[in-house]
Amino acid sequence: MSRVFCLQAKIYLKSIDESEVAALTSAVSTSMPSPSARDKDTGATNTSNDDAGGIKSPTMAKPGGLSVGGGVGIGIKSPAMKNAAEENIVRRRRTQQESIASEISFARLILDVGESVSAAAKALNPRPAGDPARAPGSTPGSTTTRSKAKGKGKGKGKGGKGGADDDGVVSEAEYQAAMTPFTYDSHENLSDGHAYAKEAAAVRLFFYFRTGNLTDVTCVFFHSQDLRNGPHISRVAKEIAGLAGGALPLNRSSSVFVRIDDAKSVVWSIMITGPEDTPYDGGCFIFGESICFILVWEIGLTLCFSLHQLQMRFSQAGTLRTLRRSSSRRPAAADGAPTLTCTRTARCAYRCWARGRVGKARRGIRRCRRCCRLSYRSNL
Amino acid sequence: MLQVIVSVQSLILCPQPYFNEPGYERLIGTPNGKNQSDQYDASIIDNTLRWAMIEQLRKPHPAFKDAIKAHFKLRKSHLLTVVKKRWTEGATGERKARVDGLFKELTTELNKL
Repeated sequence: MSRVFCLQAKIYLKSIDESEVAALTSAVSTSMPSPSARDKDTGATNTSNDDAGGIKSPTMAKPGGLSVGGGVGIGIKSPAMKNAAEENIVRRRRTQQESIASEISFARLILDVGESVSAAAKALNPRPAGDPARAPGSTPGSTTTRSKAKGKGKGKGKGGKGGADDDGVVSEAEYQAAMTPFTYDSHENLSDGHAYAKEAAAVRLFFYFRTGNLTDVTCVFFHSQDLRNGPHISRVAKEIAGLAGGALPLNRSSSVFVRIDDAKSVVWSIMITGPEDTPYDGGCFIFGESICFILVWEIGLTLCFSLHQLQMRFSQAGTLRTLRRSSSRRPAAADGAPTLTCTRTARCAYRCWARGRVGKARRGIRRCRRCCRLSYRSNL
Repeated sequence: MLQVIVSVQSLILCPQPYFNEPGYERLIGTPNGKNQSDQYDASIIDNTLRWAMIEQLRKPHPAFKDAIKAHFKLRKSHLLTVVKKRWTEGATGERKARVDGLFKELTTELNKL
């Protein structure tokens, strides 16, 4: 279990750049965030605000410069308002930074504890050289309990295969003990050559759209390549915790191995060894290049929804109005065009507003395009 | 996700995958179905040997390298006795030669471990 926590902490820490971390911590320690930290953190939005403020005050002071008193009045007023607004922003940002900093320190603490635990485990029982001590949590005790539990669960399916245990074949418990360290791991650069690498890169983009935050959308194109943090991470972390918690099937007959990309935790590779008594017996089948299916499905829906939203936004603003689809289901009759009604079934009341839209007339029945398509399908 | 993995393992990698194909479920239990299923299994066995075993031993996926090696080390005797016997049992003629050749390649690869 400690291994899971360690990995999650590692993922979290990776998601935040070192420079950013340093900036954040310094910002939290001082009462006011240092300007460099703030600039780095807020990115495009805040700098644009500052720019606007910087441009505004001279332009406002210029006309005021003609009459001395008025100029001073405006000059004092606008920075005061700006200061109040800025203070608000700063306060909000500071609470955010504090929470992030506490999370970072917690993650580091977990990592430290994990390292010390693994070191202690190594000192207590040194593993054989061929067996890499990757898992600090999986001591021999835990593996034996695990194999017992598995034996109970799968005892039914193995009734007929008991005969294979003699003539030098490795026993069930031995196999499990040897393979436990390999079941689940993270791997560097798994997404290189991964079939779904592009989709993975785009995941972040979709989440930005879903939030509907247009200020974020401006930054999307700079960040779309990295997948290291985002709202999906908690969901993925749950999945990972489920897998690494010992839920993966591990049997001599057939077992499952999972590798997750170090930087992009949505990119998974899965290997399943072929079960006994099947034509796949003993083979290593890598469903490698497959992303988290469930996530992809969810994200697909998200994309449709958010693109529609975006389009509405634009059309409201008066640009890109042509993008909006006219509802083609029951179009109103255009003037001059003959209105024809589909007579295929009583229920279909599809009124076509142009001759071109009417489908083939067969057996004296005038069908609309939709009915034609439907009947074609049903004839198949 | 775990459920997806487990269902792939138990439902797709099954003893008689021929009957998973759409439209062939009704052939279960008939001699014709048995015949067809055996042919289908034979092609799967060939491909399993070639791609899932020999090729994985020669060029293992970088992420699963250690897992693959450990797996084959542990399953070596099972593969070369039980599985070999079962898979070469009914083979005749050209197919027998092909499967034997594949097993010969597999043996050399396994001995390298």
